[in-house]
Amino acid sequence: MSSNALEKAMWTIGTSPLEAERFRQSPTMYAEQFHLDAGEKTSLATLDVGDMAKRGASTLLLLMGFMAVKGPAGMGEYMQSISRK
Amino acid sequence: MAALVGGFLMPHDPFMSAAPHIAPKEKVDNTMASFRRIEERIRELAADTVIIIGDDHYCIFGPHCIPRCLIAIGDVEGPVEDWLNIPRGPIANHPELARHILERGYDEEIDWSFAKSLSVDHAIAVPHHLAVRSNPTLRTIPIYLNAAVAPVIRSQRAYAIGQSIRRAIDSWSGD
Repeated sequence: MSSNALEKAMWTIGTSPLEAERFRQSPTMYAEQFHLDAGEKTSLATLDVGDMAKRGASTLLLLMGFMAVKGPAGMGEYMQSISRK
Repeated sequence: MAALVGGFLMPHDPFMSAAPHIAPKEKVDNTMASFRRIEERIRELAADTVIIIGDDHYCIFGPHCIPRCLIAIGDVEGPVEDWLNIPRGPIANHPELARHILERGYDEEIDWSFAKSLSVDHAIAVPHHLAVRSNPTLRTIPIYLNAAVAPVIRSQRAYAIGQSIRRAIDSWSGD
């Protein structure tokens, strides 16, 4: 679909602890509620921030959403994923 | 009559408050000393209000609405991030002067967005915490310019907004 929908999904996750928890419980089901194509859904569900960045999503937004799900300890994992951009 | 008595450029990197220990001690000491110097200058200048201009990158504004320039004219609180090591709470605004800046801007074709109740992020909260909070008599007017989410504000427009703010302050008849 577009990076806009990916950004909407990541912003929703990143700004609401409740939404972040819903994502953690079932990433695949969570991704279904957004207007995403198959590749984008996979990218969101696997929290592949490198791929989402490649698709045009803001890296600052991706960092916020990623940290909301993984916590501060996830910074290293984020850096590894984003560096594959 | 109001007067603009000073201006300062400062960073708002959230890790300055959240995790200052991750930077080399010399850099941390230099940075914090600079903030203390700004804090002192604000006192020396006998300022009663500060205007903090920052930018947002999806911490408070989302893909559904990204204002090019926004001013808080009412209640202010924050920060929204709970990991900044900054206590969340109310921040005293100067609603009358903020409203005046907005109205003056409208007269000068500045299309301000405005917030009557704003929760700020680190862009406002970090400078406030490090250079303003220690002086309880200071009031803070937050302004956001979109310099981080493309398409960003044009530099000429940002400059024009700054000039309009200056004229608004110069024409403010209150305290």
